[in-house]
Amino acid sequence: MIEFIEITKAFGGNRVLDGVSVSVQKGQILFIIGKSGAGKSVLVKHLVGLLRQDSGQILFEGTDISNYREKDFYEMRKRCAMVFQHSTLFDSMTLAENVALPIRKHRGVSRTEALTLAMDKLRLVHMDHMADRVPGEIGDGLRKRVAIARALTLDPAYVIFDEPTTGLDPVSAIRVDRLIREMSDRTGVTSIVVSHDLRSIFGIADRIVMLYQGKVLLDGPPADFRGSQDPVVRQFVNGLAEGPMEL
Amino acid sequence: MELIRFVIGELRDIARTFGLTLYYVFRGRWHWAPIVEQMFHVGNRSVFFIIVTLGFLGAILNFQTGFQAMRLFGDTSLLGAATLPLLVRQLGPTLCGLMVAIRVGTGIAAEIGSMVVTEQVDALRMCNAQPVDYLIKPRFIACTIMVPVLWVIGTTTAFIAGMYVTYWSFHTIPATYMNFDLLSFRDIVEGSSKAVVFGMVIPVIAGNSGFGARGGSEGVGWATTQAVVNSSLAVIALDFFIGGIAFLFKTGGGP
Amino acid sequence: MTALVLRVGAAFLALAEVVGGLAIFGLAVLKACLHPRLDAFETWRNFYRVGVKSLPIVATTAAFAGATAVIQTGHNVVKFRAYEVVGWAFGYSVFREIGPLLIGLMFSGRVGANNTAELGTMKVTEQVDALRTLAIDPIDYLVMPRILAMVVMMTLLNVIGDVFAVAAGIATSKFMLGVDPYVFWNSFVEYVTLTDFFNGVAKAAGFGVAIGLVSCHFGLNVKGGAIGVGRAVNASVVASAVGIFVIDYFITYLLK
Repeated sequence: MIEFIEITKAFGGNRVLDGVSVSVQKGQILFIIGKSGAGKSVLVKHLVGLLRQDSGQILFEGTDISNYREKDFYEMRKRCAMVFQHSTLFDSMTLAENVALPIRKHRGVSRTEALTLAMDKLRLVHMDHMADRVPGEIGDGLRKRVAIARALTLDPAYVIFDEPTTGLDPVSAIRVDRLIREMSDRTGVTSIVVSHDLRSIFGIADRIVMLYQGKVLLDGPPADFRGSQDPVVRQFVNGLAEGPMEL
Repeated sequence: MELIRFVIGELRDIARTFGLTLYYVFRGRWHWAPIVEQMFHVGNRSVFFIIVTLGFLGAILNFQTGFQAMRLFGDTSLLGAATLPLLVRQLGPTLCGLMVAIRVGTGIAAEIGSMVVTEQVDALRMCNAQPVDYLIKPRFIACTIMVPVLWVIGTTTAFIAGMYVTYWSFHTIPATYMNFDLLSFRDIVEGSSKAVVFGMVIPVIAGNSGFGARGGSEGVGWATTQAVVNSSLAVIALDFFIGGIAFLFKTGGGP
Repeated sequence: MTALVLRVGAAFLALAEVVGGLAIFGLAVLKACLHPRLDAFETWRNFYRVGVKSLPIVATTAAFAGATAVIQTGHNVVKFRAYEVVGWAFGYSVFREIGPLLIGLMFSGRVGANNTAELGTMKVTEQVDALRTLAIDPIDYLVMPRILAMVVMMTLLNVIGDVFAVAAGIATSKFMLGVDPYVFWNSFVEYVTLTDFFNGVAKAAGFGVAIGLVSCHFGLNVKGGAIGVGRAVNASVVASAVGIFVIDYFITYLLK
């Protein structure tokens, strides 16, 4: 269980998060949605210590991590992995080496053993046949798969996906969605997905939190979301150009 | 083998850019506003840097030579006179050239490289502006004028820094140190021609590397690295060749 | 007047930021040195890349430096017909000063700039953050192997460079000054001491530390996309050059 309590964060004079409270239940696929620049990615980056809040509290399985130092985060990051928007695989390594890196660093196994274990993880995402390619040679959708495999190597309890389908073609996007669902069902991992892709939202979300103007506008299952009478939510759900949503 | 092919290809590209630049310098129209702006950039950007580095160089040179002179002759009264010609004809222009390559050369490559990867150079072409004419020519003229100026400033700084060091470490008074007897007109010609040549090649080589940038931040980083390596190497190699020619002129060719 | 004061103040603050940032970074690296957790594979990879990348350029630079040193001492040698001191004058200036200095500047341009560009790219593409989310410390994993590789390789390449410089010096004094290689070699071995050689080696090691620290610091602090990377490379080589001269000065002073 993860709880964000009244998080605020400003960049310069721009207040991106203005008292956001969200709790994440175990085993769910939670979607954090909102238009671009609504602070979705900013919120989740607080959880792994890539950004630090101005005020508010974050509880990770009951432990207050709001005042953690960089070093303290290292232990919890093994339990809470992150898949970046642009996959951010390490350019200088092959796909197998990318996945093997965390195994090698944290499991205390040899390089060869780590590579064997990495192959197992790659097989889970159906990428084992490309293990010796480097990230520059493959498409965005495939890179995302490898990034997911890398995030799962340490068997984390939580995985954060930062806009996993943004910039992908529709086919790759739906495959990534299916992969997230599959992983969640198979391993019971809790997923926090940042997205504004309506298709993924209605495809795989268990629960949805919508951020708007630095606050939580809506929190509930997809049905609530679809049936909402709030004009901003309706505009977002229907993808309308006209409406109350600020530019 | 691959290395040789790479070097030849690189040299050919540089020669082509150099030729194009000269063509536009002599045939095209001179717009003074961008040239003056670039001169300000080149001078402003590097003058402090050159004063600091060449100041240290002068100090180091006089330390080294001074200790050696103390060991051999027990006397440092000729330190200034002996180091000055070397400073004027070789260390001054070369180190100035290297510092300009580092400070200005990388700047040019980073600037042009960023324009290439963000497709601004293509946009220039679409406006019928020649990238070499528009981007390299002003920098070429500015550097050709400013590097000799920096050479004078740098060499003077080094000489003065050396004066302080000889005074503090070897107690040679400035009046004795300020000895221009061994400095000949030839030394000044050699030093200044090096400065002019360095001023001409650095912007061309750096600009050429900038044009070669491909694909995002990696490409800009690559171009910048390439610029500093190529232009520094050019400075060191030209230092040898110009120095060699000057030496042969002086000794009347051959031993 | 106020504008001038403001500009000087801003320049001073910017300088203080760089120096302060470098000092903090240096302390972090020093702390990591206390209980080193070097990644063997990454270290080996960096040694290989640094060496391969810079060997041709260092050899070329050293050869030109040696040849130029002979020509420049040649002016006085010819004047005083003192052919028997060429080897000494050459060895003293190249081993102690010109060799390490020029090799250091070239090494900074080749390896340092490249390192800043690479780390900067990793930073702007969030690869450094990705490393952190995998619970891997960027200082341990990225910085330490690089600095180690640069210090060791810079020292080693300086020694190799000395060999190339001597070869070029012998050739140049034969063809430009007409000094017999045997005469050159004799005066070289007679007067150039191991102290001169180790003086240069100490400088090279110092330059390696400076280049490593500066290039990693600037690389990891890149902000703002491709343009930011270009700017960081520029700032990194400039700061390295200043560092090289300052260290050169102090080592010269300490090891007279």
